[in-house]
Amino acid sequence: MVEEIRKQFPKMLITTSSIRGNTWLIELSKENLPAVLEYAHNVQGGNLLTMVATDRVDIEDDYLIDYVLGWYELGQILVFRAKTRRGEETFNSITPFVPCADWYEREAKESLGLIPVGHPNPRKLLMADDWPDDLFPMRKGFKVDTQVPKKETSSFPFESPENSSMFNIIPYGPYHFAIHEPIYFRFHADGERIVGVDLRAGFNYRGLEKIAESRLTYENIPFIAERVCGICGSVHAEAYSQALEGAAGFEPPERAKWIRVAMLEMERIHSQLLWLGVASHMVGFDTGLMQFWRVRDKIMGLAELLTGNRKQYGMIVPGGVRRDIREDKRRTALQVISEVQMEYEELLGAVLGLDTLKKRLIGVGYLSNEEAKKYSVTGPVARASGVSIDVRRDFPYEAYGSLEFKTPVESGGDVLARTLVRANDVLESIKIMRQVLETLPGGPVHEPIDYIPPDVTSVGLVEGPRGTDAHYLITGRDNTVYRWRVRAPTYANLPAAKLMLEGETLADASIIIGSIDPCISCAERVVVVDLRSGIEKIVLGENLGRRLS
Amino acid sequence: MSEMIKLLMLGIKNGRVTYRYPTEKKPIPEGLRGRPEIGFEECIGCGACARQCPPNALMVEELDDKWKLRLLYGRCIMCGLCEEVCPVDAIRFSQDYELASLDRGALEVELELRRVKCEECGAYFTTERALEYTLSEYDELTYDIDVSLRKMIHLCPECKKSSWSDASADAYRRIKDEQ
Repeated sequence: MVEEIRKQFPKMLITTSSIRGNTWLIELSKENLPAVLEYAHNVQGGNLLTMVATDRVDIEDDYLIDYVLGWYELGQILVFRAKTRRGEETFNSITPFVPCADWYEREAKESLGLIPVGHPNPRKLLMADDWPDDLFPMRKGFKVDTQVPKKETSSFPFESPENSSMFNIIPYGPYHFAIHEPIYFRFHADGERIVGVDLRAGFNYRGLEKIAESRLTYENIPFIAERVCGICGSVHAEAYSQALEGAAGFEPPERAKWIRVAMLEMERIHSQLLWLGVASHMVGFDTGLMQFWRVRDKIMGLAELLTGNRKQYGMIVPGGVRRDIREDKRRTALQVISEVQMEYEELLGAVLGLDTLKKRLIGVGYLSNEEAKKYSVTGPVARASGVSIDVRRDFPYEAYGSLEFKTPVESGGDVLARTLVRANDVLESIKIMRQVLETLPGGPVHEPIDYIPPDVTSVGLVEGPRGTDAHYLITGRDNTVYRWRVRAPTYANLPAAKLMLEGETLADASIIIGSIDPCISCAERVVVVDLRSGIEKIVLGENLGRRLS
Repeated sequence: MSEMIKLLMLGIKNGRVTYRYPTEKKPIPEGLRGRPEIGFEECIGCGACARQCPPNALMVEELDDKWKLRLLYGRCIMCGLCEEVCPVDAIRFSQDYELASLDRGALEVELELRRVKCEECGAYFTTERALEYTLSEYDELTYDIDVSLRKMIHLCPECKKSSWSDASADAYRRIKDEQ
């Protein structure tokens, strides 16, 4: 891919260098960035994995703007890097041609004060509405224990469709009984039909990346990385460890690699069973919820046996894993996996045969193949729209290269297709889990990493239950990271929810949002919309407290 | 319709799988990381656990003659790093997972140790127990090291630095003389 881009833009690339086996770094000037990225994403079909802005004011007096694109079919990752000097905190936005860059660029604006010029919609994304406009948390000068003053007046400019006065505004969230984590959707509804969607995310912004670079050491971060998500914790720990080990040029011991795969697959089985249960509940099929979660509890018991915790395993650390799988535990695990497979297949056969359930899912929340590519969605959402991408298969990490499995792909593009992809995922994971437990190689499970060179850029990719989890890392000095950026799969999938929701009915909104398996957490304010008068009031946390007391 | 009957049969076959908590408890496997417990007798006050703790659940406070370790269970994420780094196995993860409490104080443990003064400048620098531990480790070493080096354990890091250079010069001279 490097060659093709060089052929297309012979004069624009400043340097190209290989960071790691499949990762290349391409440096170009700030002005050429949009043209090259438009070609790479729209013509060559690269998937936008992450975009990171880094403040390097303390070393080089500049900012780095890195777009990371991946080509799954080629197994290549390209980091497009541009620099901007201190004093000119702007860069050219690529969102007009590459819509999936929307959130990333808004985040760069908010967290580093880099203005994306030409961005169609530079609203707040992560920070609270009353966060001051001139305070940028990811800048190096910002101390992690800063007492942040609140802005006096605050509001969020929501988007409205044309003739919006004709439609009802239906607020959906941040606390809503049909979505299990805080995100605020705002629907403009014409009767039952959704005609306009806008969403406000960022209720759960905890500043983990800032804590990591200012307070934690390399060894601490995997545990904080696990807490990025309550369900796919190991995925984040693995992606971080992979990025760090890549930067250090370190290979974990063979047995550790296999145990890592077992952890990741155990988590995938758990997550997909959890989702199948929640999705059943969302369409009013509570028998499904109870039965899927009955099977799921066996996996949680297995996790407890192997790792010491039911969730947040705390197993994967840079250098290997923390606990070995003993012989007796291995045999118990194999037995549990067989039981789970038997019960799951029996249950799935019954559930998928239900016509009433199918009718709720067929043709709902459609996302076409072209849109899926354009929005760089990942995981089951992409695979349900016929985009066959899977990090396990395309960028084989750990022991996946020597394992046999299939990647379930559906072409329907609707909620049913996404359900089938996840349902078949469980069967494949069970297959992988059995292979791992049967052929676990011997040897040590952890080796210390001797030396981690500073200022190395590295990307770690892991296929989580929800899609590609991309961790970007720049190593630093004194045993700490210089920049760590987490791109959870939901970050890529959530902007596409807008496309799925438009034109659907309000009753289906819950299952459509649910079908991307969003992973969000922690709210801090409530929005009240008075429909009759059309007056909106945003109630801040403090006012709410006052009213209640 | 037949699927509905299948589901019904599944439900009847598997019956009730939940436990009547809290009267009936699920058996827990060995190796569960429950509530961490500090061994008040064993702890030497080195502070390694507090340095490693990712969420700052363990915190060290150094007052003049006192060294305080606080453990806030509300913050603990049960990662087990403290247990790993403790040189004397003073922190152990118990099998107790029921951490809910109506009393905030019940979720907090505090340990206090006495600190010792530097024999040279008189500043407090380490705990009594850490000093004892260092001395016992030192005695286990079979090297026949000069007594003046042994004394250095009683000095604070600053004084240690300055006297180290003197002592090592002395030792070097003596070895030269013997040769």
